[in-house]
Amino acid sequence: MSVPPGHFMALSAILFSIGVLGVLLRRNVIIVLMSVELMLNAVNLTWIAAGRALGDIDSHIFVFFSLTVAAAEVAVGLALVVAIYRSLGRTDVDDISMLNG
Amino acid sequence: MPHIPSILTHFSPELILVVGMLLVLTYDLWVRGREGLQANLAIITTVLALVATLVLWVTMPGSHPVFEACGPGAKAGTCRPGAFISDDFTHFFRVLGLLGTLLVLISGQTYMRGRTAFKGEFYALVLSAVLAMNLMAGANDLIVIALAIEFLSITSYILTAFLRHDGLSIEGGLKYFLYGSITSAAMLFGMSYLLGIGGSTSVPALAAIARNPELAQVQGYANIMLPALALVLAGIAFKIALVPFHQWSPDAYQAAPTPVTAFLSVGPKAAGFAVLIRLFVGSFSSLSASWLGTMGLLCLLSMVVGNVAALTQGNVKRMMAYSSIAQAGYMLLGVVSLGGKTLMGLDSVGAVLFFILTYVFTNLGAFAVIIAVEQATGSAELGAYRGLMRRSPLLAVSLVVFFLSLVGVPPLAGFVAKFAVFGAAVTGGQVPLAVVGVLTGVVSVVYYFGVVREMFFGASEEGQPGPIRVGMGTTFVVLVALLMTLVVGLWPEPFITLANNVAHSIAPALQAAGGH
Amino acid sequence: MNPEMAFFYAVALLMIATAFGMVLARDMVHGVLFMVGNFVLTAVLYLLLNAPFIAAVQLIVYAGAIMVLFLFVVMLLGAQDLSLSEPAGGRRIIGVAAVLILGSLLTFVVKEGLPAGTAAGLAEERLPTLAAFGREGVEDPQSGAAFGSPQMVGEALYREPYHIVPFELVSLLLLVAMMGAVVIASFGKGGVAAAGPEQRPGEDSA
Repeated sequence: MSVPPGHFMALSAILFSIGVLGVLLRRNVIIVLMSVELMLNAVNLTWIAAGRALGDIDSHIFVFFSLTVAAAEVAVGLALVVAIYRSLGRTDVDDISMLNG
Repeated sequence: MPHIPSILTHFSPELILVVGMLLVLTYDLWVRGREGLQANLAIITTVLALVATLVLWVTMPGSHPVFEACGPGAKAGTCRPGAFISDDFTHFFRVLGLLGTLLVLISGQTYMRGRTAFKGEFYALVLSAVLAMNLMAGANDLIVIALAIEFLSITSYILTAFLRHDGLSIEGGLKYFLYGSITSAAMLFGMSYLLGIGGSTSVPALAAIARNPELAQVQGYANIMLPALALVLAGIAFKIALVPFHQWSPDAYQAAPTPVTAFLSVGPKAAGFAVLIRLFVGSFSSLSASWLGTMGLLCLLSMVVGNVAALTQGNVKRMMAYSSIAQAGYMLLGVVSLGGKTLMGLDSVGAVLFFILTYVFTNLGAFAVIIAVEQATGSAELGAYRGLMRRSPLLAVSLVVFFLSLVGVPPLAGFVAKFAVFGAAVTGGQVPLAVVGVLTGVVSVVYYFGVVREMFFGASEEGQPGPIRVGMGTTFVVLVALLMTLVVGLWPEPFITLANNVAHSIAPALQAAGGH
Repeated sequence: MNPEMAFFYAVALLMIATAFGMVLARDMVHGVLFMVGNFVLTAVLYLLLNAPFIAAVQLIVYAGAIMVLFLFVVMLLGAQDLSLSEPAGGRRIIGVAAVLILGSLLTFVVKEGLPAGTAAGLAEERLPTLAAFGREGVEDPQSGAAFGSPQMVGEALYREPYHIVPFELVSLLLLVAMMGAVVIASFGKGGVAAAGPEQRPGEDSA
């Protein structure tokens, strides 16, 4: 293997951080959700890279399950976005403030 | 397959829950969402699962891994320990989760009536949340831990947002969802580093690596261990609602249907502590240098922020959210007091288990009252409690008892629990945190008293509202909780013995921690 | 620099670019498309990492199903209505600072802690696999299937009962998510935001 696993891990750390940036910066719920998906994607890359380095197939199984979980999470999240859009007419995080947090 | 029998026995509470959940859904299809027996079916399922757990606990004590891998797929001829383990520790949290859910279902039996058209879905979701909690209690593999936490989270988001016609409910659900999905991504990231370090997803295998003295010689391992454990801790701290992963909790607590709030305040917390203890204390105690500091900080922040923020809340559900954050801080105090010994030979983990036991009953008792008041007045604002003493002496007096127990006044259960945890903290080398705990405990008197003052001395402006008719379910739950709060407070010995036995079921790791 | 390394760097740079494109997108649809690009590139990296099965699943689930779901919601709510307002100044600075710290910390950790990645060698049974580390195409000693092939993943998943719990749990999770989406977002039963929690005839006769 000519690309060391550390390179993959560093790349996924960078992608994870970009995802965090999106979560912190953006106010639109859909973009925030997409940033979370970016983070999850980076996590999966780390798993596969670590599994490749260790010759451990369980990492593939973890990612297989994690992909399914991400799909379920997105389904629920987008349902919430649709519902909040119906009640508010907008999807900005800052507009969602009926609850005084 | 020789493993089928062990699945049918040691996994039976979970199987009962799955069957019950599917039955509720099918029944709902049959009655087409009309009012029916959905709640009763859910209660029966929970009781059956509870009975199965108790039978298992009594007849087959000890540790029973389920789903071991010794087959042709096992690597190098070794058996992998089961992905799920059914031991005393699992049983303890199974019983707590099932009992807690049972009390919530009974006290909230009539709450959803007329509020939603999706009754079958509601109870099916509650049952699947219990299932997820049971799996968290016995999860012995990172894959199962991650999936069970995700399962519980997604179920909780849906339950919080269940009253979809209520904008508030959707909003609380969305906030819960956003915080939850971010922290769960962080947790999965931490787990991937754990795999990189340990080379396995199995918790016992990771524990073996953590105890290997050669690990310390590997250059740079601490650099990667610290963020790995901190990220995993973040995911669990979110489920428990520890500061600074708590922002979702007041909003979700206020917005959720009140029985769901009651459930959220005990279920995920107990299950989160089950994972936390099994993973950090049970497996990584030899690496405590990498996580004890982070956890101590979470504990300090939770006790302070929880108790201080609760002072200014005008909504009782929000106040209970902050109060439960603070209570989680006290539980965590026991976790960080590794090796501490406290009253009657109880060790630090035993103290946490005992604290959780008392907390479940006390908090659910308080929430039974809050549900009853909300059903009578339609509100959970402080004003709804005005003159409650006159309108329903049973509710008012029990709420005072539950609050006193949460504050930690003798001779109630909460006092013994707090005493145990603080004792463990003092002997376990966490004296500053114990001092902060005692001081913030004093602060907590103020906000609980705010509600009590309304109930007893609040003058009613809008005439004299009539007495509140308390339903059978609520009366039952309040009385059970009252009984437990008093009995555990006055005769704590059997419960302490129980907690100690359960704590010893993950003993090998604890002894290692004591020598650390 | 050998060709594989060069290829990796090209893909990595493209991935970082698409990630930034998504996070900073001004148009929602552009954001979704950047994300599809990012996910397809991830699948390419999976192929580079001997994970053809996961690469296929990535394309089908992530770049396929999840992205279609996102696009569907964006279109449903009307892409024009979702103007992307700029974040407040102070918040932007805090965000960028936090991410810079996090990113450099994580990259440092991976770089410095890389020997710890090999700490897995401490487990005795891991030593043989670790010795194979670096060889092309680790093979399963029993079946001879190439590492990461669908055959090997399938055997690890189904040949022993170890993964029954997560497997069944995931199937229940999909059921729960489906119920949740129906409960939260369904149009039916006369209920959009205008309808109150009061009883509607034929539904909730207490």
